[in-house]
Amino acid sequence: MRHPVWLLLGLLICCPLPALSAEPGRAETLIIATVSDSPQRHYQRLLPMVEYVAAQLTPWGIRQGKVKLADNHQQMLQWLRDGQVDWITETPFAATLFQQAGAEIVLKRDKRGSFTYRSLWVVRADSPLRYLRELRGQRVAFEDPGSTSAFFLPSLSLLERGLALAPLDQPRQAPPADRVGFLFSRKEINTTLWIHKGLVAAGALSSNDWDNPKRVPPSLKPQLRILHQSPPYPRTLELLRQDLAPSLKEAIVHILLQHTAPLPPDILAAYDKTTRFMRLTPDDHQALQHIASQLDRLKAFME
Amino acid sequence: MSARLQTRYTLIILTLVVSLGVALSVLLYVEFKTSSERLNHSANQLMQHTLRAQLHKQAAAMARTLASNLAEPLYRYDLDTIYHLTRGLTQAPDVQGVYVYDLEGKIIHDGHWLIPQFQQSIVPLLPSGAPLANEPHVWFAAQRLYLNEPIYSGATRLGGVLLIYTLDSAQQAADALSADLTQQLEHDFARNLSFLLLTLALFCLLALVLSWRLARGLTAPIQQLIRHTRALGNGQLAQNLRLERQDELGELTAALNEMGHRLQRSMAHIEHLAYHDELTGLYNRTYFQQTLSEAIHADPHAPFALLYLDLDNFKTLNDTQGHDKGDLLLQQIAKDLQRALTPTATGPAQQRPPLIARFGGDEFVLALFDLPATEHAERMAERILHTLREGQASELRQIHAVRASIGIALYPQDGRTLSALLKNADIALAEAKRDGKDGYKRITPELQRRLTRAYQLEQALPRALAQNRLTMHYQPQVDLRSGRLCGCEALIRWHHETLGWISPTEFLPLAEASPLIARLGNWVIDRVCRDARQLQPYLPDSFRVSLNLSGAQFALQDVQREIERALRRYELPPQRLAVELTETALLRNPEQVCQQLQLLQAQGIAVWLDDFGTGYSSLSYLHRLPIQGIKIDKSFISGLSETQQGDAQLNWTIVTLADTLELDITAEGVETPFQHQLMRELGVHKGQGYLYGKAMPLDALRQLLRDDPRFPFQPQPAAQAPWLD
Repeated sequence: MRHPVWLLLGLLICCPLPALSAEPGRAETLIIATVSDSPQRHYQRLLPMVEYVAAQLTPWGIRQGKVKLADNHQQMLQWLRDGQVDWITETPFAATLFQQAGAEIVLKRDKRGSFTYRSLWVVRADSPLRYLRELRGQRVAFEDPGSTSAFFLPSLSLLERGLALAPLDQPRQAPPADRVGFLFSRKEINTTLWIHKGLVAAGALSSNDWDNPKRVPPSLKPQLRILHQSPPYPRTLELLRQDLAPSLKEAIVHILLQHTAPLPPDILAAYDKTTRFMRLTPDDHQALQHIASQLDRLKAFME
Repeated sequence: MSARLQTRYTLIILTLVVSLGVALSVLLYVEFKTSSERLNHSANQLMQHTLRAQLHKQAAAMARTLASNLAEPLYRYDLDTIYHLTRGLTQAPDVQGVYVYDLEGKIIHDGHWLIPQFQQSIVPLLPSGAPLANEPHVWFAAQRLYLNEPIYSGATRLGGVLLIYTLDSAQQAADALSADLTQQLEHDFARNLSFLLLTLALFCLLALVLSWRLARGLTAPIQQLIRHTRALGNGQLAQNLRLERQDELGELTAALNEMGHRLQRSMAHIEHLAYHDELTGLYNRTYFQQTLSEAIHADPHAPFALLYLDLDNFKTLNDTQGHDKGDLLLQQIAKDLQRALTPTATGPAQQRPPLIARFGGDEFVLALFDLPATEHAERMAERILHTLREGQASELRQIHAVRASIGIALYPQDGRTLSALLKNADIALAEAKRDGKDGYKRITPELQRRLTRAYQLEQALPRALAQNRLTMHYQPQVDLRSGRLCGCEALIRWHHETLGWISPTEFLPLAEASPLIARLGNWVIDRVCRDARQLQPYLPDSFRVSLNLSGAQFALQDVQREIERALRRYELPPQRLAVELTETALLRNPEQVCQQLQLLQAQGIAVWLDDFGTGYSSLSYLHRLPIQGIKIDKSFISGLSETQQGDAQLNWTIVTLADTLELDITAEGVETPFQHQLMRELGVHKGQGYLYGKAMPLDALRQLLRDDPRFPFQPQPAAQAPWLD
């Protein structure tokens, strides 16, 4: 409850300021954020959208849109707690995490027309592995610690099967016999190559990666095989700060759903190759709830 | 010849220069080729070396950077990062391969996206024997540059990166440079060669000019000498060749000039000899004829007189007083002639000096120009004769004044050529001499014709004699007392193939003037003796065949011996033969002739004096002559007739004289019975004439002898005897 007080206080202090100063105050600013390892790219992706939406929100006293990029989930969680961000766009794992910290998942959006994806475990086609549990004592590759599809979900699938994961420094390092040694390949193509070259027994890739020839070269595909695939998950989710004025939240959702006016296509395209926003389906909610249910286990593993 | 010498000199020098130039060019070309190849090779090597060094430097830097950048990705097996780090290099043109390998030497990345050589050993890719050491290594082998750079993470070695560069592009660059260089060099060489050839051509031209000049300097004086020598050969002896040289050619020139001078002197001498008479200093025949021929040729209408002068009896003088005197006389005569023809002597009318020449012996020929008329020539001849008579030459002769005869021929009326003129003057001279010498005679057409005929006969006579064209005819003689034939006179007859019958009075003098008279005389003797032998059976007693002897015959031969031989040859009794000769024949060499006649008479041959009364006969002389009788010339008889008996007295005197000297008398030219009767009455013993018969051939005489007629009787018509005069 401290937050509204501060907000009010802030408003109190800052309200006359717009009249006096050119710089809009926090209340007059719509801030969009995401966790980024590539801040410049994300900044350019998000800015046009947030400025556009902010411009639509003048009746709510919004005068400008801003982008804030967090280095990691912890920072984002902190920003959420501090009310420093209004709007977050994230993958399901992070969205689930931020939801628990007071953000509300309002919409999902597509990327190149795809609203969902799956997480895959890929092995060499000639691999003797048939079940995920057989990965014990083997090396596996994830892509990135922040990746939902290539880290959270696949590791979740291992954890659910009672497998313990052990991080490895590098591919030559031998995994513990009772655990699954894992490595971050940093790039999907590395994962593919590691699998192909036998550096790892299996690798985690999203279904989108599997269909991307730059990540799984078609020439290699026949020599690979999918060992396991997850249920579908919404691809990207839009979250709004829970304590935003409900009318403002509704206004933003309305703008994104293009209920009053269509979004400019160039702004949409710039926004991570999105074509449109949609409300979540029950399946989406179920998938997200599954993640949320396993979140403690994941948190424990990550710690 | 000298042009060829010059050409040869020029060619030799030119050949030398051209050969030198060509040799130099070839040498330069070969040298250029060699050095350009060397240069090319060096440049290639240098280029390769430089490029290698450059490549090495770049590659080493690249390898270090790469190795540094690769540490983290290698540690993490971040194949994608490795790929992106190496991809640029892999695609570089000179890079053949980039290999990242681990500590075991297994390839982690080969620079290709899907790493086909993953986990393969790096060793086969390295040059043989190359270690995978902790230090960077560089090898050049088989057109490759190998750089092996270890990859460290801190102090820990993770593996290494092997860069393989191909040196092909370096080689290609070097080759391209070489090609460029070669092209440039060849271009330069072509330019240099053109320049060289141009220079060579200029040199050749220069050499040609110089050698031409050199050869010309050598041959020009030779050509001058040749021209000069030819000029000398052509008789241009007065020329002096001026060749300002001190060498052998100069000496040769001096020698040639000296030779020319000597030749000139001797030529002048020879010319003088050729055109002058050595004895008198007058012109000789050659000069005279040449000069006069030229004069005629130069002006065919200019008249002149040719005087042919011959001393009278010069031979006698020469024989009696010796040749020295004779020569002296000729020299004096030459001077007299010159004196006689001096301009003052000849008068102002004569503009061109006369030409005086000695033709040889005592013959002088003079040409007098610009004479207005014949009389002038004759006056000149008269003056010459006068001068000779009065001149110094006459004093030399002492006994008599010098006499000469002159024949004159005038141009153009007496002959249009010099030879005709000379011949005619000579004829005129002969005529002048016949006229009694010490005079002159001009050629006349009549004289010319006569002498031409005489000459013609003179030429034809020996041939006629040889070809038996001469015949003997006989004119009967009658004993006036009995009227019977008592002898005959053999008369020679000549029938010329074109001129017809030739009178003996015409051709006998010609024969007498030549040695032919001896042959002719012998022929007559032989023929008469032969004919008489044939007539022998028909001859009455005391019948004699008489033949005529010429005085000249006696001078040339022993007539008596010839007659004796003929008589013997035909076995003819001497009593059948008589000889007749004229008074003039006796006069020539009286002693010898008389001796011969005496011998003949002693043999029994009768000797008769012919043509008595016409010649120069002294009675005392007649008395001493060994003659049997005289023949009264027909000129004494022919005028006698019944109405004219003027000469009868003379005949009577002759008969009386003959009687006194006990000589037989024969009357010639008895043509009428009256004359026959008169002579008979005068006591003339024999008669001869047309009354008894003309001269007839042998057969006719034989027939007459057979008939043995009695005279006088009517004479035969003259027309029936074509052989008569």
